[in-house]
Amino acid sequence: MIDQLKTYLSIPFVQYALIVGVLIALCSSLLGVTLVLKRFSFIGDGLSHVAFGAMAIAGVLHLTDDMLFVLPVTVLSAVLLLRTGQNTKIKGDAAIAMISVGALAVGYLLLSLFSTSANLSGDVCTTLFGSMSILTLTQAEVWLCTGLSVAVVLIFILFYNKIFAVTFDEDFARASGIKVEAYNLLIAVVIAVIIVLAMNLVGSLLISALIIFPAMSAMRLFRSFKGVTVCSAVLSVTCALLGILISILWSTPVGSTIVAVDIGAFLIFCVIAKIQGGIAK
Amino acid sequence: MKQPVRNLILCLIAVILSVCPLFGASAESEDLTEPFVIDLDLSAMSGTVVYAQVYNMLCDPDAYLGKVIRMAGYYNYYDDQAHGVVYHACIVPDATACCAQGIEFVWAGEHVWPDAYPEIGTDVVVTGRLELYEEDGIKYLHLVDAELTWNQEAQP
Repeated sequence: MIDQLKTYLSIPFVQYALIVGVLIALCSSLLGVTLVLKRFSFIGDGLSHVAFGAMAIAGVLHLTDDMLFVLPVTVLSAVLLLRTGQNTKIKGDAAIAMISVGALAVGYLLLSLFSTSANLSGDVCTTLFGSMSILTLTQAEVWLCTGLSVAVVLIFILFYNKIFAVTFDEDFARASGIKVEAYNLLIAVVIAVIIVLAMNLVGSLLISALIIFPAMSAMRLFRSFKGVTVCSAVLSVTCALLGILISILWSTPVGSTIVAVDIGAFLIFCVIAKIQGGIAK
Repeated sequence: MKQPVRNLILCLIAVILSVCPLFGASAESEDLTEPFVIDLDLSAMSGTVVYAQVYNMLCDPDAYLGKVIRMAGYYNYYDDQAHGVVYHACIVPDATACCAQGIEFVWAGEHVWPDAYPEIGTDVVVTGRLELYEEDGIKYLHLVDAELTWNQEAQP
């Protein structure tokens, strides 16, 4: 088994998958903490469905590089979604639900009507569940993912204090002179970038798991924002690595395997938190 | 060591240990005869890796042309009645079974289709040299001088 693993690890596309998988897991976990605390856990799901719809339109238009279309559309949707709940008639959760199912339905409708692909169900399955996307990346896609991931991590590190303030108390942050709207916009853009990147790893239906599970697991044991963020990042990267390795060794779907490992980690963290609580009492 | 950090390390060890038994499982090995030197043996790889490898071969054929490749999958054919040609292929499905990649092969020697060939869906192992050919201005890949083996008793 170890020899087989060594053989797989020497294959370039497996190396690409591990690099991109780790980077995406890291990025999604960093922003995951903010989203969970801001009660925006489900925004990942909504945006991923928007990305699916955009990808369908890009496919129908025969765009060679669909990222150029999918990324701006997803960023725009993220901005609109994060602005809801402030001065709009349709409040946050309803807006996310409407955009989410609307984009999914329109995307599938367009694919059904105009797609020239010989395997429509295969294309849809790949987009929704990630399927083998992460193992079929080109070198250019790996570089793009790496560049965007590094940008996301740098933004998070540079604006850590501001993101922290905006996450916990927008009113206090505003009173402190922080441009809350600008940072919410920044968070929205970063989330959209992560969503588009993560579609390669786990597909659009499972992206929320990458954002929510590591953060929720970390919150079982840690109380500080910094502690939860660091723990979430380490856990997310570990689970992504294990998930990819399990899937290539035992031929399981990559995305759902990573999510299954995330669920397992969450349960382990819950048990340890329970034991610790019992000991503390 | 601070307690939260210790907790994190303990949790990570627990997560890794919980999946470790999977990595200790032994793989089944096949004793296959070697008629010629195989450059890339896909039959010994997991389905996920084989699917991705075949995808990469189709996307970047230049890196694999001339190499002897062995692959395991299921047999399928396409009867092109317009040109009077039957194309035979070894198909590899992905883990979600919604997508499949395949490589056409030309079985070495004289074999009458369909009697000498396996039934559609039969698990087969194909070994051949990867080459490029052109038809109606479109380039295709296929394994030539291929050796085709399957379990005669296990046909669907």
